[in-house]
Amino acid sequence: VSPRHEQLLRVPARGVSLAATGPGRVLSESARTHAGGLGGTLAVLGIILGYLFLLPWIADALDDAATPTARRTVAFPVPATPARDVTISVPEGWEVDRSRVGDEQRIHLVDEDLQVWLTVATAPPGPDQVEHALAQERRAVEETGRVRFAEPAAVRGPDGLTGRVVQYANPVTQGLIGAWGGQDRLVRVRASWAGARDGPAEAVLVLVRSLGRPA
Amino acid sequence: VIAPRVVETTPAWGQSDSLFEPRRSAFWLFAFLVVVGAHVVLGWVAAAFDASPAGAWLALGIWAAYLVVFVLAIAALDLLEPEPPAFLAAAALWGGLVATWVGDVANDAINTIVAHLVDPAFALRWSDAIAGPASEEVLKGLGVVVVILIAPRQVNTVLDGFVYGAMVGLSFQVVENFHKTMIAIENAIFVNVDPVGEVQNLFVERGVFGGVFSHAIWSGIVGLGVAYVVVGTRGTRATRALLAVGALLAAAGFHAVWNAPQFVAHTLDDLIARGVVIGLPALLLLAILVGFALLRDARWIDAILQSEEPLVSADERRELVTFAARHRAVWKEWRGSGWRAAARLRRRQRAQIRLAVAAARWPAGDARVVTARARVRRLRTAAP
Repeated sequence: VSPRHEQLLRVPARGVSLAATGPGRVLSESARTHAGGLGGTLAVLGIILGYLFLLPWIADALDDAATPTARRTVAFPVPATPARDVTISVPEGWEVDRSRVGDEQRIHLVDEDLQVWLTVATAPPGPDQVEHALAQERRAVEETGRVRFAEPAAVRGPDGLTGRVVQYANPVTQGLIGAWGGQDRLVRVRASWAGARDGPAEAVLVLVRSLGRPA
Repeated sequence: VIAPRVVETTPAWGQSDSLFEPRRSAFWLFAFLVVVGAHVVLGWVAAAFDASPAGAWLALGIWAAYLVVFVLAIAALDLLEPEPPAFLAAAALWGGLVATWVGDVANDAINTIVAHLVDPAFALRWSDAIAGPASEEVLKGLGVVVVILIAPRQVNTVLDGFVYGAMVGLSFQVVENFHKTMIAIENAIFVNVDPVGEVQNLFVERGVFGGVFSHAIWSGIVGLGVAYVVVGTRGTRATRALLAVGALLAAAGFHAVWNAPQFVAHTLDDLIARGVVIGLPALLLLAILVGFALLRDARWIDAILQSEEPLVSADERRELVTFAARHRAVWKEWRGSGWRAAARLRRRQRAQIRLAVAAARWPAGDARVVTARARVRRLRTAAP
Protein backbone atom coordinates (compact mmCIF):
# COMPACT_ATOMS: atom_id res chain seq x y z
CA VAL A 1 0.00 0.00 0.00
CA SER A 2 1.49 3.30 -1.04
CA PRO A 3 1.68 6.20 1.40
CA ARG A 4 -1.01 7.89 -0.60
CA HIS A 5 -3.37 4.96 -0.19
CA GLU A 6 -2.51 4.73 3.47
CA GLN A 7 -3.86 8.19 3.81
CA LEU A 8 -7.00 7.35 1.92
CA LEU A 9 -7.65 4.31 3.98
CA ARG A 10 -7.41 6.23 7.22
CA VAL A 11 -10.37 8.22 6.05
CA PRO A 12 -13.68 6.42 6.31
CA ALA A 13 -14.38 4.74 3.03
CA ARG A 14 -16.89 6.67 1.07
CA GLY A 15 -19.78 4.87 -0.44
CA VAL A 16 -18.78 1.54 0.97
CA SER A 17 -20.23 0.39 4.21
CA LEU A 18 -17.65 -1.31 6.38
CA ALA A 19 -20.39 -3.04 8.28
CA ALA A 20 -22.02 -4.27 5.13
CA THR A 21 -18.87 -5.59 3.54
CA GLY A 22 -17.14 -7.04 6.60
CA PRO A 23 -13.44 -7.36 7.15
CA GLY A 24 -11.48 -8.40 4.14
CA ARG A 25 -14.33 -8.56 1.74
CA VAL A 26 -14.25 -6.64 -1.46
CA LEU A 27 -17.47 -5.06 -2.50
CA SER A 28 -17.37 -4.95 -6.23
CA GLU A 29 -18.98 -2.14 -8.12
CA SER A 30 -21.42 -4.46 -9.80
CA ALA A 31 -22.48 -5.98 -6.51
CA ARG A 32 -23.08 -2.57 -5.07
CA THR A 33 -24.89 -1.44 -8.17
CA HIS A 34 -27.40 -4.22 -8.24
CA ALA A 35 -27.80 -4.89 -4.55
CA GLY A 36 -31.39 -4.60 -3.45
CA GLY A 37 -32.63 -3.21 -6.75
CA LEU A 38 -35.78 -5.24 -7.31
CA GLY A 39 -36.57 -5.74 -3.65
CA GLY A 40 -36.23 -2.05 -2.98
CA THR A 41 -38.41 -1.16 -5.94
CA LEU A 42 -41.11 -3.54 -4.76
CA ALA A 43 -40.93 -2.05 -1.28
CA VAL A 44 -41.37 1.47 -2.68
CA LEU A 45 -44.23 0.25 -4.86
CA GLY A 46 -45.84 -1.40 -1.85
CA ILE A 47 -45.74 1.81 0.19
CA ILE A 48 -47.14 3.84 -2.69
CA LEU A 49 -49.96 1.35 -3.24
CA GLY A 50 -50.62 1.37 0.48
CA TYR A 51 -51.13 5.11 0.45
CA LEU A 52 -53.11 5.07 -2.80
CA PHE A 53 -55.38 2.11 -2.18
CA LEU A 54 -55.05 0.51 1.24
CA LEU A 55 -55.67 3.64 3.30
CA PRO A 56 -58.72 4.69 1.21
CA TRP A 57 -59.99 1.12 1.47
CA ILE A 58 -59.67 1.21 5.26
CA ALA A 59 -61.44 4.57 5.32
CA ASP A 60 -64.30 3.18 3.24
CA ALA A 61 -64.49 0.07 5.38
CA LEU A 62 -64.72 2.21 8.52
CA ASP A 63 -67.48 4.18 6.88
CA ASP A 64 -69.40 1.04 6.08
CA ALA A 65 -68.77 -0.48 9.48
CA ALA A 66 -69.92 2.64 11.28
CA THR A 67 -73.43 2.49 9.93
CA PRO A 68 -73.83 -0.89 8.28
CA THR A 69 -77.58 -0.96 8.31
CA ALA A 70 -78.49 2.43 9.53
CA ARG A 71 -77.72 4.74 6.71
CA ARG A 72 -80.11 6.35 4.34
CA THR A 73 -79.92 9.17 1.97
CA VAL A 74 -82.21 12.02 1.15
CA ALA A 75 -81.97 13.17 -2.38
CA PHE A 76 -82.75 16.76 -3.10
CA PRO A 77 -82.48 18.95 -6.10
CA VAL A 78 -79.71 21.42 -6.53
CA PRO A 79 -81.45 24.36 -8.13
CA ALA A 80 -80.14 25.98 -11.21
CA THR A 81 -79.03 29.57 -11.09
CA PRO A 82 -80.06 31.71 -9.32
CA ALA A 83 -79.40 29.84 -6.12
CA ARG A 84 -82.16 29.33 -3.64
CA ASP A 85 -82.29 27.47 -0.41
CA VAL A 86 -83.58 23.98 -0.08
CA THR A 87 -84.87 22.82 3.25
CA ILE A 88 -84.57 19.16 3.93
CA SER A 89 -86.51 17.58 6.71
CA VAL A 90 -84.55 15.05 8.67
CA PRO A 91 -86.79 12.25 9.89
CA GLU A 92 -87.14 11.57 13.60
CA GLY A 93 -84.41 9.26 14.82
CA TRP A 94 -82.02 10.23 12.11
CA GLU A 95 -79.33 12.80 11.87
CA VAL A 96 -76.90 14.05 9.34
CA ASP A 97 -73.93 11.76 8.84
CA ARG A 98 -70.91 13.36 10.38
CA SER A 99 -68.51 10.53 9.80
CA ARG A 100 -66.77 11.63 6.65
CA VAL A 101 -63.84 13.94 6.37
CA GLY A 102 -62.07 14.97 3.29
CA ASP A 103 -63.63 12.74 0.73
CA GLU A 104 -63.41 14.36 -2.63
CA GLN A 105 -67.11 14.16 -3.32
CA ARG A 106 -68.27 15.20 0.10
CA ILE A 107 -68.36 18.81 1.06
CA HIS A 108 -68.64 19.48 4.72
CA LEU A 109 -69.68 22.62 6.47
CA VAL A 110 -70.06 23.34 10.09
CA ASP A 111 -72.79 25.27 11.74
CA GLU A 112 -72.41 26.58 15.20
CA ASP A 113 -74.76 23.88 16.38
CA LEU A 114 -74.82 21.26 13.75
CA GLN A 115 -72.32 19.70 11.45
CA VAL A 116 -73.68 19.12 8.05
CA TRP A 117 -72.13 16.62 5.77
CA LEU A 118 -73.22 16.93 2.26
CA THR A 119 -72.62 14.32 -0.34
CA VAL A 120 -72.81 15.43 -3.89
CA ALA A 121 -74.22 12.66 -5.94
CA THR A 122 -72.76 13.76 -9.19
CA ALA A 123 -69.07 13.84 -9.86
CA PRO A 124 -67.18 17.03 -9.06
CA PRO A 125 -66.98 19.39 -11.99
CA GLY A 126 -64.09 19.08 -14.35
CA PRO A 127 -61.79 22.00 -14.96
CA ASP A 128 -63.75 23.03 -18.03
CA GLN A 129 -66.87 23.45 -15.94
CA VAL A 130 -65.28 25.68 -13.38
CA GLU A 131 -65.34 28.92 -15.25
CA HIS A 132 -68.96 28.41 -16.14
CA ALA A 133 -69.85 27.57 -12.54
CA LEU A 134 -67.91 30.54 -11.23
CA ALA A 135 -69.74 32.84 -13.61
CA GLN A 136 -73.00 31.39 -12.39
CA GLU A 137 -72.01 32.07 -8.83
CA ARG A 138 -70.98 35.63 -9.51
CA ARG A 139 -74.37 36.27 -11.03
CA ALA A 140 -76.05 34.63 -8.06
CA VAL A 141 -74.18 36.91 -5.69
CA GLU A 142 -75.16 39.94 -7.68
CA GLU A 143 -78.78 38.93 -7.87
CA THR A 144 -79.28 37.87 -4.30
CA GLY A 145 -76.95 40.39 -2.73
CA ARG A 146 -75.65 37.72 -0.41
CA VAL A 147 -72.07 37.47 0.53
CA ARG A 148 -70.90 34.05 -0.35
CA PHE A 149 -68.42 32.00 1.51
CA ALA A 150 -65.19 33.67 2.31
CA GLU A 151 -63.30 31.09 4.24
CA PRO A 152 -63.07 31.07 7.18
CA ALA A 153 -65.40 33.97 7.81
CA ALA A 154 -68.84 33.26 9.10
CA VAL A 155 -71.70 33.41 6.66
CA ARG A 156 -75.22 34.37 7.50
CA GLY A 157 -78.22 32.75 6.01
CA PRO A 158 -81.38 34.57 5.02
CA ASP A 159 -83.12 33.55 8.21
CA GLY A 160 -80.36 34.73 10.48
CA LEU A 161 -78.85 31.34 11.08
CA THR A 162 -75.15 31.34 10.80
CA GLY A 163 -72.75 28.80 9.51
CA ARG A 164 -69.09 28.67 8.96
CA VAL A 165 -67.30 27.19 6.05
CA VAL A 166 -64.56 25.11 7.53
CA GLN A 167 -62.99 23.21 4.74
CA TYR A 168 -63.67 22.15 1.25
CA ALA A 169 -62.06 18.95 0.25
CA ASN A 170 -62.07 19.52 -3.44
CA PRO A 171 -60.55 22.78 -4.59
CA VAL A 172 -62.49 22.66 -7.80
CA THR A 173 -65.82 22.72 -6.00
CA GLN A 174 -64.55 25.11 -3.38
CA GLY A 175 -66.88 28.00 -3.02
CA LEU A 176 -69.55 26.44 -5.17
CA ILE A 177 -71.65 24.71 -2.59
CA GLY A 178 -72.75 25.99 0.74
CA ALA A 179 -75.08 24.92 3.45
CA TRP A 180 -76.62 26.30 6.58
CA GLY A 181 -77.63 24.11 9.39
CA GLY A 182 -80.26 25.46 11.65
CA GLN A 183 -82.62 23.42 13.65
CA ASP A 184 -81.50 19.88 14.05
CA ARG A 185 -84.60 18.56 12.33
CA LEU A 186 -84.22 20.77 9.35
CA VAL A 187 -81.18 21.10 7.23
CA ARG A 188 -81.11 24.09 5.06
CA VAL A 189 -78.94 23.64 2.08
CA ARG A 190 -78.01 26.06 -0.53
CA ALA A 191 -76.28 24.31 -3.29
CA SER A 192 -76.01 26.28 -6.39
CA TRP A 193 -73.31 24.34 -8.07
CA ALA A 194 -74.83 22.57 -10.93
CA GLY A 195 -72.82 19.78 -12.09
CA ALA A 196 -74.87 20.77 -14.84
CA ARG A 197 -74.70 23.74 -16.95
CA ASP A 198 -77.97 22.74 -18.57
CA GLY A 199 -80.13 22.49 -15.50
CA PRO A 200 -80.46 21.33 -11.95
CA ALA A 201 -78.44 18.51 -10.56
CA GLU A 202 -79.21 16.26 -7.67
CA ALA A 203 -77.37 16.07 -4.41
CA VAL A 204 -77.72 13.55 -1.64
CA LEU A 205 -77.65 14.16 2.04
CA VAL A 206 -76.42 11.17 3.99
CA LEU A 207 -78.28 10.43 7.18
CA VAL A 208 -77.45 8.01 9.93
CA ARG A 209 -79.37 6.74 12.92
CA SER A 210 -79.28 9.10 15.82
CA LEU A 211 -77.48 7.72 18.79
CA GLY A 212 -79.34 7.97 22.03
CA ARG A 213 -82.53 8.97 20.40
CA PRO A 214 -85.58 6.89 19.69
CA ALA A 215 -85.61 5.60 16.18
CA VAL B 1 1.78 -0.65 5.76
CA ILE B 2 -1.64 -0.38 7.21
CA ALA B 3 -3.78 -3.48 7.12
CA PRO B 4 -7.16 -2.12 6.19
CA ARG B 5 -10.39 -3.72 7.30
CA VAL B 6 -11.84 -3.08 3.90
CA VAL B 7 -10.19 -2.95 0.53
CA GLU B 8 -11.83 -0.30 -1.53
CA THR B 9 -11.84 -1.34 -5.13
CA THR B 10 -12.77 2.19 -6.05
CA PRO B 11 -13.52 5.12 -3.81
CA ALA B 12 -17.15 5.91 -4.35
CA TRP B 13 -16.50 9.61 -4.65
CA GLY B 14 -16.70 10.63 -8.25
CA GLN B 15 -18.64 7.57 -9.31
CA SER B 16 -21.75 8.18 -11.28
CA ASP B 17 -24.63 6.45 -13.01
CA SER B 18 -27.02 7.39 -15.73
CA LEU B 19 -30.59 8.36 -14.92
CA PHE B 20 -31.84 6.42 -17.92
CA GLU B 21 -31.53 2.87 -16.64
CA PRO B 22 -34.18 0.85 -18.48
CA ARG B 23 -32.82 -2.40 -17.03
CA ARG B 24 -33.71 -1.33 -13.53
CA SER B 25 -37.25 -1.69 -12.32
CA ALA B 26 -37.00 1.44 -10.21
CA PHE B 27 -36.55 3.52 -13.34
CA TRP B 28 -39.85 2.34 -14.79
CA LEU B 29 -41.65 2.76 -11.50
CA PHE B 30 -40.32 6.31 -11.34
CA ALA B 31 -41.29 7.07 -14.95
CA PHE B 32 -44.81 5.66 -14.55
CA LEU B 33 -45.54 7.55 -11.34
CA VAL B 34 -44.19 10.81 -12.74
CA VAL B 35 -46.40 10.57 -15.85
CA VAL B 36 -49.53 9.85 -13.80
CA GLY B 37 -48.59 12.55 -11.30
CA ALA B 38 -48.10 15.11 -14.07
CA HIS B 39 -51.57 14.35 -15.36
CA VAL B 40 -53.10 14.80 -11.91
CA VAL B 41 -51.20 17.94 -10.97
CA LEU B 42 -51.91 19.63 -14.30
CA GLY B 43 -55.58 18.96 -13.69
CA TRP B 44 -55.30 20.74 -10.35
CA VAL B 45 -53.90 23.93 -11.76
CA ALA B 46 -55.40 24.13 -15.24
CA ALA B 47 -58.67 25.69 -14.09
CA ALA B 48 -56.97 28.70 -12.55
CA PHE B 49 -55.20 29.49 -15.79
CA ASP B 50 -58.62 29.74 -17.42
CA ALA B 51 -60.11 31.74 -14.58
CA SER B 52 -57.30 34.27 -14.19
CA PRO B 53 -54.45 33.97 -16.67
CA ALA B 54 -52.65 37.02 -15.25
CA GLY B 55 -52.77 35.78 -11.68
CA ALA B 56 -51.83 32.25 -12.64
CA TRP B 57 -48.86 33.31 -14.72
CA LEU B 58 -47.72 35.66 -11.99
CA ALA B 59 -47.93 32.80 -9.51
CA LEU B 60 -46.02 30.51 -11.85
CA GLY B 61 -43.30 33.11 -12.33
CA ILE B 62 -42.94 33.86 -8.64
CA TRP B 63 -42.78 30.23 -7.55
CA ALA B 64 -40.43 29.30 -10.38
CA ALA B 65 -38.06 32.09 -9.34
CA TYR B 66 -38.36 30.93 -5.76
CA LEU B 67 -37.38 27.44 -6.85
CA VAL B 68 -34.31 28.71 -8.68
CA VAL B 69 -33.07 30.68 -5.66
CA PHE B 70 -33.29 27.67 -3.38
CA VAL B 71 -31.72 25.33 -5.93
CA LEU B 72 -28.73 27.66 -6.11
CA ALA B 73 -28.49 27.64 -2.31
CA ILE B 74 -28.56 23.85 -2.22
CA ALA B 75 -25.98 23.68 -5.01
CA ALA B 76 -23.67 25.96 -3.03
CA LEU B 77 -23.61 23.41 -0.23
CA ASP B 78 -22.95 20.62 -2.71
CA LEU B 79 -19.75 22.10 -4.13
CA LEU B 80 -17.43 19.16 -3.53
CA GLU B 81 -19.14 16.71 -5.79
CA PRO B 82 -22.10 18.39 -7.48
CA GLU B 83 -25.00 16.12 -8.29
CA PRO B 84 -25.87 15.96 -12.00
CA PRO B 85 -28.76 18.20 -13.09
CA ALA B 86 -30.66 15.19 -14.44
CA PHE B 87 -30.78 13.58 -11.01
CA LEU B 88 -31.68 16.82 -9.28
CA ALA B 89 -34.51 17.19 -11.81
CA ALA B 90 -35.61 13.62 -11.10
CA ALA B 91 -35.77 14.37 -7.39
CA ALA B 92 -37.75 17.52 -8.14
CA LEU B 93 -40.18 15.60 -10.35
CA TRP B 94 -40.77 13.08 -7.61
CA GLY B 95 -41.44 15.77 -5.03
CA GLY B 96 -43.62 17.92 -7.25
CA LEU B 97 -45.58 15.34 -9.15
CA VAL B 98 -45.56 12.06 -7.23
CA ALA B 99 -45.40 12.95 -3.54
CA THR B 100 -48.01 15.69 -3.96
CA TRP B 101 -50.47 13.50 -5.79
CA VAL B 102 -50.16 10.38 -3.66
CA GLY B 103 -50.09 12.52 -0.52
CA ASP B 104 -53.34 14.18 -1.51
CA VAL B 105 -55.10 10.80 -1.78
CA ALA B 106 -53.54 9.51 1.42
CA ASN B 107 -54.34 12.63 3.43
CA ASP B 108 -58.04 12.35 2.62
CA ALA B 109 -58.08 8.73 3.73
CA ILE B 110 -56.14 9.44 6.92
CA ASN B 111 -58.53 12.24 7.82
CA THR B 112 -61.50 9.93 7.43
CA ILE B 113 -59.84 7.22 9.48
CA VAL B 114 -59.04 9.67 12.26
CA ALA B 115 -62.62 10.93 12.14
CA HIS B 116 -63.85 7.42 12.78
CA LEU B 117 -61.27 6.44 15.35
CA VAL B 118 -61.44 9.68 17.33
CA ASP B 119 -64.02 12.21 16.36
CA PRO B 120 -64.89 14.18 13.23
CA ALA B 121 -64.44 17.51 14.98
CA PHE B 122 -60.99 16.42 16.17
CA ALA B 123 -60.15 15.28 12.66
CA LEU B 124 -61.19 18.61 11.23
CA ARG B 125 -59.09 20.50 13.73
CA TRP B 126 -56.01 18.32 13.57
CA SER B 127 -56.13 17.01 10.01
CA ASP B 128 -53.22 19.10 8.77
CA ALA B 129 -51.06 18.14 11.74
CA ILE B 130 -51.77 14.41 11.46
CA ALA B 131 -52.29 13.51 7.83
CA GLY B 132 -49.57 15.67 6.29
CA PRO B 133 -46.65 14.42 8.36
CA ALA B 134 -47.89 10.82 8.27
CA SER B 135 -47.95 10.62 4.52
CA GLU B 136 -45.88 13.39 3.01
CA GLU B 137 -42.64 12.88 4.90
CA VAL B 138 -42.56 9.20 3.95
CA LEU B 139 -43.50 9.90 0.34
CA LYS B 140 -40.85 12.56 -0.03
CA GLY B 141 -38.25 10.31 1.57
CA LEU B 142 -39.10 7.67 -1.02
CA GLY B 143 -37.84 10.11 -3.64
CA VAL B 144 -34.33 9.75 -2.25
CA VAL B 145 -34.76 5.98 -2.08
CA VAL B 146 -35.85 5.84 -5.71
CA VAL B 147 -32.84 7.89 -6.82
CA ILE B 148 -30.61 5.40 -5.00
CA LEU B 149 -32.42 2.46 -6.56
CA ILE B 150 -32.09 3.89 -10.05
CA ALA B 151 -28.47 4.90 -9.64
CA PRO B 152 -26.84 3.40 -6.55
CA ARG B 153 -23.46 4.88 -7.30
CA GLN B 154 -24.86 8.38 -7.56
CA VAL B 155 -25.51 8.72 -3.85
CA ASN B 156 -22.11 8.14 -2.31
CA THR B 157 -22.01 10.57 0.58
CA VAL B 158 -24.43 11.44 3.34
CA LEU B 159 -24.44 14.96 2.00
CA ASP B 160 -25.85 13.66 -1.29
CA GLY B 161 -28.85 12.40 0.66
CA PHE B 162 -29.42 15.90 1.98
CA VAL B 163 -29.17 17.39 -1.50
CA TYR B 164 -31.70 14.98 -3.01
CA GLY B 165 -33.99 15.18 0.00
CA ALA B 166 -33.95 18.96 -0.06
CA MET B 167 -34.69 18.96 -3.78
CA VAL B 168 -37.65 16.62 -3.31
CA GLY B 169 -38.97 18.75 -0.46
CA LEU B 170 -38.39 22.03 -2.24
CA SER B 171 -40.24 20.86 -5.32
CA PHE B 172 -43.06 19.47 -3.20
CA GLN B 173 -43.32 22.78 -1.43
CA VAL B 174 -43.34 24.82 -4.63
CA VAL B 175 -46.03 22.69 -6.27
CA GLU B 176 -48.10 22.72 -3.11
CA ASN B 177 -47.74 26.48 -2.84
CA PHE B 178 -48.58 26.91 -6.50
CA HIS B 179 -51.66 24.72 -6.07
CA LYS B 180 -52.81 26.72 -3.06
CA THR B 181 -52.21 29.91 -4.98
CA MET B 182 -54.45 28.63 -7.76
CA ILE B 183 -57.19 27.96 -5.22
CA ALA B 184 -56.74 31.43 -3.75
CA ILE B 185 -57.07 32.91 -7.23
CA GLU B 186 -60.36 31.08 -7.80
CA ASN B 187 -61.67 32.23 -4.44
CA ALA B 188 -60.54 35.79 -5.04
CA ILE B 189 -62.43 35.93 -8.31
CA PHE B 190 -65.44 34.44 -6.60
CA VAL B 191 -65.61 37.17 -3.99
CA ASN B 192 -64.49 39.93 -6.36
CA VAL B 193 -61.06 40.46 -4.82
CA ASP B 194 -57.96 41.22 -6.86
CA PRO B 195 -56.34 37.82 -7.52
CA VAL B 196 -52.91 39.38 -8.00
CA GLY B 197 -53.02 40.66 -4.44
CA GLU B 198 -53.88 37.18 -3.24
CA VAL B 199 -50.86 35.80 -5.06
CA GLN B 200 -48.62 38.33 -3.36
CA ASN B 201 -50.10 37.57 0.06
CA LEU B 202 -49.57 33.86 -0.35
CA PHE B 203 -46.02 34.37 -1.50
CA VAL B 204 -45.24 36.36 1.63
CA GLU B 205 -46.93 33.83 3.89
CA ARG B 206 -45.83 30.55 2.34
CA GLY B 207 -42.70 31.64 0.54
CA VAL B 208 -40.97 34.28 2.62
CA PHE B 209 -42.03 33.21 6.11
CA GLY B 210 -42.77 29.55 5.55
CA GLY B 211 -40.42 28.49 2.80
CA VAL B 212 -37.17 28.59 4.66
CA PHE B 213 -38.46 26.39 7.43
CA SER B 214 -40.74 23.83 5.87
CA HIS B 215 -40.64 20.98 3.37
CA ALA B 216 -37.11 21.43 2.05
CA ILE B 217 -35.74 21.36 5.58
CA TRP B 218 -37.81 18.40 6.74
CA SER B 219 -37.02 16.36 3.62
CA GLY B 220 -33.37 17.29 3.86
CA ILE B 221 -33.31 15.68 7.32
CA VAL B 222 -35.04 12.57 5.96
CA GLY B 223 -32.65 12.42 3.00
CA LEU B 224 -29.65 12.54 5.32
CA GLY B 225 -31.08 9.56 7.20
CA VAL B 226 -31.72 7.54 4.05
CA ALA B 227 -28.22 8.19 2.72
CA TYR B 228 -26.71 7.32 6.08
CA VAL B 229 -28.24 3.87 5.88
CA VAL B 230 -26.72 3.29 2.47
CA VAL B 231 -23.28 4.88 2.70
CA GLY B 232 -22.68 5.22 6.41
CA THR B 233 -19.73 3.41 7.88
CA ARG B 234 -20.50 3.34 11.58
CA GLY B 235 -22.50 0.70 13.34
CA THR B 236 -24.54 -2.03 11.74
CA ARG B 237 -27.00 -1.37 8.99
CA ALA B 238 -29.81 -1.98 11.47
CA THR B 239 -28.41 0.70 13.75
CA ARG B 240 -28.18 3.12 10.90
CA ALA B 241 -31.72 2.24 9.83
CA LEU B 242 -32.89 3.11 13.33
CA LEU B 243 -31.18 6.47 13.07
CA ALA B 244 -32.86 7.02 9.70
CA VAL B 245 -36.23 6.26 11.27
CA GLY B 246 -35.34 8.77 13.96
CA ALA B 247 -34.62 11.36 11.28
CA LEU B 248 -37.97 10.60 9.65
CA LEU B 249 -39.79 10.94 12.97
CA ALA B 250 -37.99 14.19 13.71
CA ALA B 251 -39.01 15.62 10.34
CA ALA B 252 -42.59 14.43 10.80
CA GLY B 253 -42.60 15.91 14.29
CA PHE B 254 -41.48 19.31 13.04
CA HIS B 255 -44.10 19.09 10.30
CA ALA B 256 -46.85 18.17 12.77
CA VAL B 257 -46.06 21.00 15.16
CA TRP B 258 -45.81 23.43 12.25
CA ASN B 259 -49.34 22.45 11.15
CA ALA B 260 -50.82 22.21 14.64
CA PRO B 261 -53.96 24.32 15.07
CA GLN B 262 -52.32 26.22 17.91
CA PHE B 263 -49.74 27.55 15.48
CA VAL B 264 -51.97 28.52 12.60
CA ALA B 265 -50.64 31.90 11.56
CA HIS B 266 -52.99 34.71 10.63
CA THR B 267 -50.86 37.79 11.20
CA LEU B 268 -47.31 38.86 10.50
CA ASP B 269 -46.46 38.40 14.18
CA ASP B 270 -47.87 34.86 14.07
CA LEU B 271 -45.76 34.06 11.04
CA ILE B 272 -42.59 35.37 12.64
CA ALA B 273 -43.30 33.60 15.92
CA ARG B 274 -43.97 30.30 14.17
CA GLY B 275 -40.75 30.61 12.22
CA VAL B 276 -38.71 31.29 15.34
CA VAL B 277 -40.34 28.77 17.65
CA ILE B 278 -40.83 25.85 15.24
CA GLY B 279 -38.81 26.62 12.15
CA LEU B 280 -35.49 27.55 13.69
CA PRO B 281 -35.02 24.33 15.68
CA ALA B 282 -35.55 22.29 12.50
CA LEU B 283 -33.12 24.48 10.63
CA LEU B 284 -30.57 24.16 13.41
CA LEU B 285 -30.89 20.37 13.49
CA LEU B 286 -30.36 20.21 9.75
CA ALA B 287 -27.41 22.60 9.96
CA ILE B 288 -25.76 20.39 12.56
CA LEU B 289 -26.28 17.23 10.53
CA VAL B 290 -25.08 18.86 7.31
CA GLY B 291 -22.14 20.28 9.24
CA PHE B 292 -21.08 16.80 10.30
CA ALA B 293 -21.39 15.57 6.72
CA LEU B 294 -19.36 18.51 5.42
CA LEU B 295 -16.73 17.95 8.08
CA ARG B 296 -16.27 14.41 6.87
CA ASP B 297 -15.85 15.68 3.32
CA ALA B 298 -13.37 18.24 4.57
CA ARG B 299 -11.20 15.58 6.20
CA TRP B 300 -11.31 13.55 3.02
CA ILE B 301 -10.27 16.48 0.84
CA ASP B 302 -7.50 17.47 3.19
CA ALA B 303 -6.12 13.93 3.22
CA ILE B 304 -6.11 13.64 -0.55
CA LEU B 305 -4.64 17.05 -1.29
CA GLN B 306 -1.72 16.63 1.08
CA SER B 307 0.07 14.81 -1.70
CA GLU B 308 -0.75 17.52 -4.24
CA GLU B 309 1.65 20.15 -2.89
CA PRO B 310 2.76 22.58 -4.19
CA LEU B 311 -0.33 22.75 -6.44
CA VAL B 312 -2.36 23.01 -3.27
CA SER B 313 -0.53 24.52 -0.32
CA ALA B 314 -1.29 23.76 3.31
CA ASP B 315 -2.90 27.18 3.74
CA GLU B 316 -5.03 26.65 0.68
CA ARG B 317 -6.14 23.26 2.00
CA ARG B 318 -7.32 24.91 5.17
CA GLU B 319 -9.23 27.44 3.09
CA LEU B 320 -10.78 24.79 0.91
CA VAL B 321 -12.22 22.43 3.43
CA THR B 322 -15.13 24.43 4.75
CA PHE B 323 -17.82 26.50 3.15
CA ALA B 324 -17.12 29.45 5.46
CA ALA B 325 -13.35 29.34 4.96
CA ARG B 326 -13.68 29.27 1.18
CA HIS B 327 -15.92 32.31 1.19
CA ARG B 328 -13.80 34.15 3.73
CA ALA B 329 -10.80 33.75 1.46
CA VAL B 330 -12.72 34.97 -1.58
CA TRP B 331 -14.07 37.93 0.35
CA LYS B 332 -10.58 38.82 1.59
CA GLU B 333 -9.26 38.64 -1.96
CA TRP B 334 -12.08 40.87 -3.18
CA ARG B 335 -11.29 43.54 -0.61
CA GLY B 336 -7.57 43.34 -1.20
CA SER B 337 -7.30 42.88 -4.94
CA GLY B 338 -10.70 43.45 -6.49
CA TRP B 339 -13.47 41.30 -7.89
CA ARG B 340 -11.45 39.90 -10.77
CA ALA B 341 -8.91 38.42 -8.39
CA ALA B 342 -11.71 37.13 -6.20
CA ALA B 343 -13.36 35.43 -9.17
CA ARG B 344 -10.04 33.89 -10.13
CA LEU B 345 -9.55 32.57 -6.63
CA ARG B 346 -13.01 31.07 -6.69
CA ARG B 347 -12.24 29.30 -9.98
CA ARG B 348 -9.00 28.02 -8.53
CA GLN B 349 -10.76 26.69 -5.46
CA ARG B 350 -13.22 24.81 -7.63
CA ALA B 351 -10.41 23.42 -9.75
CA GLN B 352 -8.55 22.23 -6.66
CA ILE B 353 -11.66 20.49 -5.39
CA ARG B 354 -12.15 18.85 -8.78
CA LEU B 355 -8.55 17.69 -8.54
CA ALA B 356 -9.28 16.12 -5.16
CA VAL B 357 -12.29 14.30 -6.57
CA ALA B 358 -10.30 13.08 -9.58
CA ALA B 359 -7.36 11.98 -7.42
CA ALA B 360 -9.71 10.02 -5.20
CA ARG B 361 -11.34 8.29 -8.10
CA TRP B 362 -8.54 7.51 -10.50
CA PRO B 363 -4.84 6.55 -10.30
CA ALA B 364 -2.28 9.32 -10.09
CA GLY B 365 -1.23 8.96 -13.73
CA ASP B 366 -4.73 8.86 -15.14
CA ALA B 367 -5.40 11.42 -17.84
CA ARG B 368 -8.29 12.89 -15.87
CA VAL B 369 -6.09 13.52 -12.86
CA VAL B 370 -3.38 14.99 -15.06
CA THR B 371 -5.92 17.29 -16.70
CA ALA B 372 -7.23 18.40 -13.32
CA ARG B 373 -3.69 19.17 -12.17
CA ALA B 374 -3.00 21.12 -15.35
CA ARG B 375 -6.09 23.24 -14.79
CA VAL B 376 -5.03 24.09 -11.25
CA ARG B 377 -1.52 24.90 -12.45
CA ARG B 378 -2.91 27.16 -15.18
CA LEU B 379 -5.12 29.03 -12.73
CA ARG B 380 -2.25 29.43 -10.28
CA THR B 381 -0.02 30.99 -12.91
CA ALA B 382 -2.72 33.10 -14.57
CA ALA B 383 -1.87 36.75 -14.80
CA PRO B 384 -3.18 38.73 -11.81
